Amino acid sequence: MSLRSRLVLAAAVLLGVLAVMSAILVTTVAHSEVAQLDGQLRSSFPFTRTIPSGHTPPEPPPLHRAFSASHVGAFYIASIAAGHRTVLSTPLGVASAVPELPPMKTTSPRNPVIATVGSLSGTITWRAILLRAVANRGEILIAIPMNHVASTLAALRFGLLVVGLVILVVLGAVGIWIVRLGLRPIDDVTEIASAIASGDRSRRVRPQRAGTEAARLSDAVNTMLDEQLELESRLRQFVADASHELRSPVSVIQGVTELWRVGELREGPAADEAMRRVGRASHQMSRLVEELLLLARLDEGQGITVSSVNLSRLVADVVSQVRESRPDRVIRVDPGHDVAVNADEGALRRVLDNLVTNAVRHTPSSTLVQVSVIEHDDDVELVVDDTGPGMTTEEVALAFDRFWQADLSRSAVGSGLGLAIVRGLVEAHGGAVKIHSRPGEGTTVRVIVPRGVGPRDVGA
Amino acid sequence: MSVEILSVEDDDNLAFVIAAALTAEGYGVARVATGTDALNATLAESAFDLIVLDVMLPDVDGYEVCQRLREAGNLTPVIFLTAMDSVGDKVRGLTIGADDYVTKPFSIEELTARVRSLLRRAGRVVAPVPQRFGEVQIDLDERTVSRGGALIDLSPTEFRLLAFLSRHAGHVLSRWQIIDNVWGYGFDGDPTIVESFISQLRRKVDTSPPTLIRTVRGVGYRLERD
Repeated sequence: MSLRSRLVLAAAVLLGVLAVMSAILVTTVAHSEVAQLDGQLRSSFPFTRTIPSGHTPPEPPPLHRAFSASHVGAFYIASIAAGHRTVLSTPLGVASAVPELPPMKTTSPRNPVIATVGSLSGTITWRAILLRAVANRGEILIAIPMNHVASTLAALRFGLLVVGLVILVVLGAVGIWIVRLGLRPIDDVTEIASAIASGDRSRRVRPQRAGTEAARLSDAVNTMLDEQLELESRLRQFVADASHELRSPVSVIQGVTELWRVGELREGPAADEAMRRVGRASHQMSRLVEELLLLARLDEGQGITVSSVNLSRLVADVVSQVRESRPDRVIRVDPGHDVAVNADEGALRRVLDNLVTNAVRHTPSSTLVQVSVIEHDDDVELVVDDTGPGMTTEEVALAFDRFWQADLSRSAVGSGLGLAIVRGLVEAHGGAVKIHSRPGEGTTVRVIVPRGVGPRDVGA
Repeated sequence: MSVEILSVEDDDNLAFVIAAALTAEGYGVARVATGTDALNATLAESAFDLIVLDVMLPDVDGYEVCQRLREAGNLTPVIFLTAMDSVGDKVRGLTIGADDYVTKPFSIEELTARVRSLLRRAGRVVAPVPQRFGEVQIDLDERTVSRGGALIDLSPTEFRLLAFLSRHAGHVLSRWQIIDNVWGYGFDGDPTIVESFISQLRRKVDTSPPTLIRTVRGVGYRLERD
């Protein structure tokens, strides 16, 4: 059931309860009014009350004595003999109205039969008693007009109606307010969600008044949409960059095969060089594909297997490998003594290799590179420090972006994915990578890896 | 007259392929890897007939190289080599004063065709004399074939087939050599397509003796030289 129909139902129930209560109130008032009239009727013949039970009623006093002057203006009194009415008194204000005869006759004054009757002419109703007159000399009709009761009830009904209408209006206003404030944003969100589903991605929920649930809802929806769009454009950029990176090696392979086809590069040194180029291009492509797959696995949150790693040994190992390929560079190592960490050894090796290779690649040959391992209580820190040209704040901010490279030259052999992979691998360990760099002051990269659960001591 | 082309490409492998392709066409090729070197080489000597210029360069990008050349009054034709293929990039290149562009990954055929047409537009080369095989005359640049002066209407594939045969006139070409060159490495259809195209070509071109296109049984086909 929608919120709208619930609101309507609640209002209907409330109005129903009010209607029932009004009916009860009107009935109660009517009853008490009638009871009051009946009391007046009974008291109109005071002589009856003085009769003790079992006694013959005494001769009633003459009528003019039996009814006090105050009764005369309030009652219709008539004696009826042989079908002929002799009117003794008419009530003030309705003097022309004549009540009908009640269907039953009152035989015992102690137990009077009072009935509601209409008028012979006119619309007034009455409470009436038909008394047997003494010694069978006809009957006496005593009636009191109910026009007072009718007007009281009419006033009451009118009052209740007004109250009911006011409540109805208030309920309606409250309902509209709730719907406008609470439901229109939901309608908005629904409408915009379907617009977005059918392809219009730029649509946003319009801003609501601050502080309302609607504002929170629309803000949340808009934030979600923005983030989705951002993610999507990042992904698109990533795919575009990846295919861009593939273009050059593809062009090389394509070009060499095409030239071979038309009879070029078939023999001698040209053929050897062509094959070497093809080999390098395909190596570039396969490395790119491998790195992209690794990043995709890391993005999915998988890709590391944890075991106990002797970090000191690993650092020494990686540095000596880099030294072998770049014997001209001075790389200092402070590996600590058998620093242990629970991590993925292959991943850490790759992190270190990327960072040290980066430092060597992006600095002049004279620059010193320093690799250190620092132990803390809960984590270990790998620091790769150089005194090279450094980077600007903007460059540092971009450094982790996929495919970003400090110099646009593709002759620099990197793919632009190195630091993104470093960060992915370190974060997969629950660690963090920080770069501190200033132009002219060199670059410091700190990798912090939690020691993790498991044995701390690793044999040397 | 020898044609000298400057190739500006920072990717060493790609530079090799470009140079190999242009050399194979008979042009002289000089290679540089940076924008600065390109500017120095061009502005100093200005002896190049054409420049193949990569847009993405490590120092000064291709757009700027081209702009500076034009500002210096150097009107050497420029072909941009770009990995970007959005319309905006192309328009930018052409407004700056490039004469044409090739998008990576490109085919050698496309590059050399554009180089050829640009050189001819610039008046740097005289159009090659059409090849003659008996009555048949093949103009590779105009892409026309005529017999005894009357033009023969060939489909693009038929033309490529005839052009390939004519480039290797006198040599026997195998069915797969023909497929790789005429239909390309992406061909994955029925290789007997070669037979049907050869017979179509014969019906249109080889209308009277002596026979031009010969079948070498068990090996392939050959276009007879005069």
